[in-house]
Amino acid sequence: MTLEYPDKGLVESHSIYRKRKPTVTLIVKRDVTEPTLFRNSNHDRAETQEFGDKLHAQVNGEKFTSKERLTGLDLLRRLDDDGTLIDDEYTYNEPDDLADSLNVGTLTYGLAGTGDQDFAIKSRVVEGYTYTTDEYDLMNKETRNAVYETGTMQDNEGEQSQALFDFVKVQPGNDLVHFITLEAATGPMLLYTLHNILNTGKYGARETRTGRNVRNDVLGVILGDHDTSLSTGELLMEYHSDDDDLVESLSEYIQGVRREDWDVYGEFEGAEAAPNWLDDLLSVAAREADDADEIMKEEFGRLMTEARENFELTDE
Amino acid sequence: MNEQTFEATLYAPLFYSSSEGRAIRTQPTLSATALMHALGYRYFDMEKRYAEFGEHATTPDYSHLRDASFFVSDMRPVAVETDERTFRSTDYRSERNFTTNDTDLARQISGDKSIPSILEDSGAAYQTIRNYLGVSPGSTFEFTIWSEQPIPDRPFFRMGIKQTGEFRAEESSQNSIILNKYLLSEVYDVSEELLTELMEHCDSFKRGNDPRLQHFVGSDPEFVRDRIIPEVV
Repeated sequence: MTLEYPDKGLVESHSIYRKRKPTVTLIVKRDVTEPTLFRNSNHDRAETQEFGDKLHAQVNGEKFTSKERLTGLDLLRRLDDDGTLIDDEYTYNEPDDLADSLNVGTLTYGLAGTGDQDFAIKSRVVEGYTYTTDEYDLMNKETRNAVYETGTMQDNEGEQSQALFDFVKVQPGNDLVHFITLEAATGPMLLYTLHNILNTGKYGARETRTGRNVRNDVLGVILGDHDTSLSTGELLMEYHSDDDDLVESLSEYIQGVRREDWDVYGEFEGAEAAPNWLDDLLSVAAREADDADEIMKEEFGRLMTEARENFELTDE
Repeated sequence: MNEQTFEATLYAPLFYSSSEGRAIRTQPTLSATALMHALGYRYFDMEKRYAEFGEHATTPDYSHLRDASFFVSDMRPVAVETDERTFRSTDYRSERNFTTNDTDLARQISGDKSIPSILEDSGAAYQTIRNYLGVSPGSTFEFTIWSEQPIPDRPFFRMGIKQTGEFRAEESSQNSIILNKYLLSEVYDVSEELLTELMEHCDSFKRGNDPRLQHFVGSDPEFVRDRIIPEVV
């Protein structure tokens, strides 16, 4: 399969300076499939925001990007057999110099280098704050006892554990709608971001022990010559009430703020059905296509060659 | 020259440093320097640099605003809440950060209590511990824009650290114009004489402890239109 990218929404090649900023917005529904703990300044629960008279959990976009970035780096390491996609020495969050730090992840999500060399690569991915679509029930606490090595709540002298702690988790059935916007991105950057969204299933605190807790689904894609960004807060505050169907509210919102240059694809009113290029892109990104790895390797290799030339790193 | 006044509603928490240091505080009046970029990127094809190196990566530079074909006022708070969102500390240029529930540590970070010497004397990452105060969703602001080409009736733009502040604005009637002294004097080189005249044509001049926090509040719309705008656009 050869991937085709749309004429709109993306730039043709990597460049450091940009005047034109076409954008792609992915409408992602994050289904909570297991109780998930999003914590912030309170260690036991999420931040909240009140819409109408109901409390919604508010989650910082970074809680999603940080996990998605790691999925991407894992992919790069898996695909890279000749050292062209990611440097062996590169460690996320501890960047050294630009030459070692340049990979599809840093080009897409940005990076600030404070080690041997000062540099800043801006992120082309904007994942804003998001909120649960339904009420966040603060009364629904899970109380736990600390467990001893015996695996019980009694220590070896038979004393009962005194340590109790509560969690307020987002319960299954409560979802998050997230608008993820790529600004002046190239085709491979869109492929990479989609891969990371579709292949990340663990978010929030204690995810390594609770297993897969969120299932991401791309509900739609918006392409535009200009900024196509949308706001989950605006959707929930202005276009959605308790009894409304979420997809209907979403459709109403997009039609309400839609600009003339937008192409909207998805399974909701006012949107066109996904064209072939989008189906192909999604099947490679989800690693459903047989030759997904091969295609991704080729696409990412192309982006790296362009970027190295732009950063004048080809001689090293 | 088009003159449009908007009321903007914020739909997500906005973190934005109107003063920097250990405590990052967002004052209720949002600076025009940030709004110039937000609208410039979205509606006026302003160039964005996706990578910066050396000193450029660490020092702000606003000189490119002189080439912009528009000018904006500061964002005047209409109904604003600046609640403390979270104790969060981070190195300015790295992704390293941590969150704390420790009230003592939080007070040290916000500057209410002295910092233990082990933190003061340690490496860069710890020295730049910061406390973020943000603006709550639902807050509203008024601003005026002067431009050759009008912008849409309901513009959408993002501002702030990590672009978290999502705004949708609607055209509204003009109540008050607040102009930013830093932008006028340091970026556009507006003369001292004209700034003195502007001071006489505004309700008050609000001083701050940072050059970017000085505002001409309640500027006379006629004076701004006739004397200031031709200098800056």
